[in-house]
Amino acid sequence: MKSNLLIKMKELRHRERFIKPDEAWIRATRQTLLLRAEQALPPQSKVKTSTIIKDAVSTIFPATTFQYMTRPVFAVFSFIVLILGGSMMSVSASERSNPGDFLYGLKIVTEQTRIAIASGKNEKLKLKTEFTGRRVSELRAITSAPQTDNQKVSEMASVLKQDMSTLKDQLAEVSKESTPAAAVEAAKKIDTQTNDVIVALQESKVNLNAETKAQVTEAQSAASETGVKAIEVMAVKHQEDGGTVSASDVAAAIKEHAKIVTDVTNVPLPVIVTTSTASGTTLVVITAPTSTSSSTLPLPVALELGSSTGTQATTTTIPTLLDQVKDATSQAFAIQKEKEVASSTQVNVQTGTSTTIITTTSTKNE
Amino acid sequence: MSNIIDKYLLFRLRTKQDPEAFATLYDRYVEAIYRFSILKLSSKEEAEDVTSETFTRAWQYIQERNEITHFRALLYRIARNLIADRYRRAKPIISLEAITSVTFESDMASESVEGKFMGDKGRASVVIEAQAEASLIISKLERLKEDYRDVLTLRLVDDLPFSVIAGILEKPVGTVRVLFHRAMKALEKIDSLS
Repeated sequence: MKSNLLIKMKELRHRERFIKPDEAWIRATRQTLLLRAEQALPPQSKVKTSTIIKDAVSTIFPATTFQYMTRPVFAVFSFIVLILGGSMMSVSASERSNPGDFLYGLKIVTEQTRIAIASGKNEKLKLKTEFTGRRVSELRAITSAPQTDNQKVSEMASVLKQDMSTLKDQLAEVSKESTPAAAVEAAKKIDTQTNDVIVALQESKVNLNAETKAQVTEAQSAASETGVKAIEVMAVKHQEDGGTVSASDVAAAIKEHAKIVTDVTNVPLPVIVTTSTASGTTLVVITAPTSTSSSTLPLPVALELGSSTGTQATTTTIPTLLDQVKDATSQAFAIQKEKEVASSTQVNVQTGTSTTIITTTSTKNE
Repeated sequence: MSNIIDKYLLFRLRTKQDPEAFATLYDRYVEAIYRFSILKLSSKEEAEDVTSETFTRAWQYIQERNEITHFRALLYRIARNLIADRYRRAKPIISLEAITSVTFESDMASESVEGKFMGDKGRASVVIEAQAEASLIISKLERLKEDYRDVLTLRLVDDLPFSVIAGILEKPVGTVRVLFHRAMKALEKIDSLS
């Protein structure tokens, strides 16, 4: 049953429709209000466009309109932030991740993507160099942990070995296709980085088992090979165009590389570098080791680099020379590796000079 | 749509300083506010006073550059407050005598109302009947909570949409709908008791 009051109210609504104020009163009031409005309003003045826009917005879309819109708009906005911002934040967070971390996979994928979308071989090489630097940092982070994880170091050594090989190939391509200046710049960076890789790998060896140590040495050997390649690029570019890199730079690079390899392997490298800037010539001499080692290290090779008189007497010998350096370093690492393998098989190694150890391991392998 | 027209007029008023825009707003709502007022007040004069005062106050509100979400609701809100003020000052007694004495004094010429040709007496009697009815309804509704009373009269008598009622009562639309639903239940209860 319908409420009586409800019916009555609806009736009243109907009745109300017939109620009209006096027309005269309506007109008079209108007149009064209009007059008041005209007096109150300032004379027509130029209203700023910004004020018009502001008024239009606030009049047509008052704050309450936005209240209804706030939630859906905010939801959509949050979603976009989550998708775009979230992924960007994840990528940036992943850049600080280390092997074994949740975001490490994303880091590697991001790096690969960046390399893939990079334009030009030189750009790709730069990125690869930068990312190799990250691997070194990661390796240091792993080895700085209280308990060194052999597995992780082994994986990292394997990755670095691979990276070194890639860098070497990429550098070879860049040196062929890029300008001498770009090639030298890349070579210098790679040279510095390979030295860093060798040192970092050496530092990681402290608490490793012998097997992992041997793997790390392999990676060091690969790094050394890439380093020598970088020096070779520098040397070749020096011969082609003396302005891009000086002979003393090349000599210093060889010297530094030899020193690091010697320090790391404990095998005295038969590289003696002498520079003579006064005569404008840099002389790089590789001699037999001065020690009484019985190891079969390369024979002496002499090379004259970058004569200021323009004499390029030994141009063809550069690759030969650097092959020699490469052989010397790889042999040094091979000896080091043998030593590590030997220690893992519990061979009673005589302590003493490195020469003694080399002899012992060599004998055992024979 | 109605609200958009109001907004456009307000925009013109504010940016173009066009007093005619306010006059148009007056034309649009003067009758509605008058009807709203007369059912709650004892005399035609009081209703006229409240109506003109409502527009004056609305004008001031616009001049102060206050934000206006719903102009129609603003007018009803002002009128409602003015009526409440009068109630507070002196509780009106909507007596038949009082209404008759005022409304029959009207010296207006005959005019067409809702397509019907009505004389002064006819017009006045419509108001009297409506006021008497309103008075009766209001007296019954007095048993209800104030919120219920307001929402019922605004919706059922003044025939206002929920969005405007929400603006008048300064409550969210959803709350007003719930309030109306509960008020209807309460109304049925009163009916069954009487």
